[in-house]
Amino acid sequence: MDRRPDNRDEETLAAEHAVEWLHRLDTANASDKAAFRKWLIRSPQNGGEVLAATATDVVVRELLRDKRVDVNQFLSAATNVHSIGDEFRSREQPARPKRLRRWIGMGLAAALAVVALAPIVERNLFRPDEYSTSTGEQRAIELPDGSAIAINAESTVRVAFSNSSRDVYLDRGQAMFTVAKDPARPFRVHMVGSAGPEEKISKDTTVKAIGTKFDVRRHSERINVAVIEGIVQVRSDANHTAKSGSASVVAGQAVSVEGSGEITPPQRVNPSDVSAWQQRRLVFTDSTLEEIAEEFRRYNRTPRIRIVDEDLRMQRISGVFDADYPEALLLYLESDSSVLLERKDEEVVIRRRPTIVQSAPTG
Amino acid sequence: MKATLPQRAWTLGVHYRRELHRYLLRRLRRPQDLDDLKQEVYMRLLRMDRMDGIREPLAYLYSIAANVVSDFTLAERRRHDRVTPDSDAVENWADDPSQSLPDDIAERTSLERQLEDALKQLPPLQAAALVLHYQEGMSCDEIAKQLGLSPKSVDKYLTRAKARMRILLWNEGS
Repeated sequence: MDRRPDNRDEETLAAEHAVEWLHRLDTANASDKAAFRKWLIRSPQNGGEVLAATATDVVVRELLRDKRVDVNQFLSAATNVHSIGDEFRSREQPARPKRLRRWIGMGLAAALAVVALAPIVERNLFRPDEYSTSTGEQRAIELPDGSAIAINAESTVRVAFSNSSRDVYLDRGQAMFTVAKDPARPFRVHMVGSAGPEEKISKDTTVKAIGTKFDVRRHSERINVAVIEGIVQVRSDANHTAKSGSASVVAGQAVSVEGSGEITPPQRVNPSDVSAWQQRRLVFTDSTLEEIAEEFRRYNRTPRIRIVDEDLRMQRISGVFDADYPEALLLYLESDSSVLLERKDEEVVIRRRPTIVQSAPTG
Repeated sequence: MKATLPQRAWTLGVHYRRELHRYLLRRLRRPQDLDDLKQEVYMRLLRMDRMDGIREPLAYLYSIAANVVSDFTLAERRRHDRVTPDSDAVENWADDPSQSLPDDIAERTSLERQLEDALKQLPPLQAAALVLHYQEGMSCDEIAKQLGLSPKSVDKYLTRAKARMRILLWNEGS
C-alpha cells in the first residue's frame, strides 16, 4: 500500500530528501554543496538517511544486477490501477511485449556505453586538474589512466597528463598514489621546492613510478616517501650541492628528502601504518609533541593545540589516535602532572607546570 | 570492456566505503544500531566548525561514517576475539572489493526475497521505473518514453521509490 502524500511520515520525507540530495550532488555547484552542508547539520537524521540511501542504492543495484526481475509484471498491474500513457493503455495488444523487449535491449546498450554512476563515486566528468582539501577533509580521485590518488587533509594535488608522461604535482600536504601499470608513460610526482617563510625545501624532488602504490607527505622541512607496493625512484634535483641524489625505494621502505636535498637511507615501515590516515587514524612512532599537535591541526579547526615550552614540543611519544578526537591527546597530557593545560575559548595552551618553590621549613 | 566506474573506484583503494557498506548491510535488520551510528556521525560533523571549509561534503560524510564504523567494529572485535585490527586492515586492502553484498548464500537469498516483497509494495509504476533504472540502466528520459510519462513524473517516481525501498528494506526485515 502506498501512503498518500499528505500523510507521509517524517521518516519517509527525510528518506526522500536524502535521495534528492544524492541525485542533485551528482551535478552540484558550490552553492548546492553549501546548502547540503547546512541540511546535513540540521539534524542527526539527515546524515544517517544519506548513508542509508547510499547503502540501499548499492544493494538494490547489485541485487537487480544478479537477479532479473520481470518489469512486465508491474506494467500489467499498472494498467489496472493507474491511468498511464497510450503505449500501455491496452495491454492485450500483442505488439507491446516486443516493443518493450526492444526498448530494454536499447536500455542495456545505453547502460554499457554510458556507464551508470552510483552516487557514491565523485563525478569527474569535467575533471579539473587541481584538487584541494581543507582542514579535516579527505578525498579520493580517479585518473583517466585508472590510477587513483587518495588525498589527505590540507593538501593540494595538480594533475598534468600527456601522451608520453603522467605528471602529478603535490603542492602541499599528503597523498597516496595507486599507479596503474603503463611502462610507456612513467608516473611522476613532483614537489617543486619553495623556500618561503613556512617552507624550507629549497630543492625540487621527483618520485617516479611505473606501476605501484606509495605515499608522499610534504612537511615544511622535508618530504617523506613510503612505498607499499613495487618500487619507486626518488630524485632530488639539488644542482648546487653535493647532497643531490637519487634512491630506489622498495615496498616496505621509506625515505626522507631533507630540505637540503639530501636523501636519508631507506628505513623499514609498516604498510598499514602508512595507509592509516585513510581511516583517519594517526600513527606516531617516536614523534615529537609538536609534530603530533600539527597533525591534529590538519584535521580539526578546534581546539587549536598550542605548545609553548620548547622542551615539551620536543618531547617524543608513540601511539595511535583517532584524527577526529584531539581530546584523546589532551587527556593523555593531562595525566602528566608536570604539564598544565589552559583552555581558552577554542584554543588549548600546553605548558610546563611551574615548579612550586617550597618555602624552607623554619626552625 | 572497461569495468564500470563504481567498480573501479572500489578496487582502487576507496576501501573504507566498502567497510561502511558492509556494516550498514549487517544493520539492515537492526535499525537501533543505525541510530548509534547517526548520532556519532552527527557529533563529529558538528565538531567540524559547521563544516564551512568542506568542499566535498558528501565524501566527507562518508569518510566520517567509515571512521565511526571502523571504531564500532574495532570495539566489537575486541569484545569477540583477539584479532589485531592492523593485520585486518591490511587484509582489507588485498581483498577483492567489487562485491559489497554478503557472501553468505542464505543471507543473500533472504535479501533477494526482501527486495521482491518490497518491490511488490510499491505502486506498480514506481516499481517499473525502479527496475528499468537499476536493471536496464535507463535514464529518466528513456524511462519516461518507455512508460509514456513525463520525465518530471519519472524523476518524482524514482525519488519516491528509492526512499520507499530504503524504508522497506531497513525497517521490515524479518
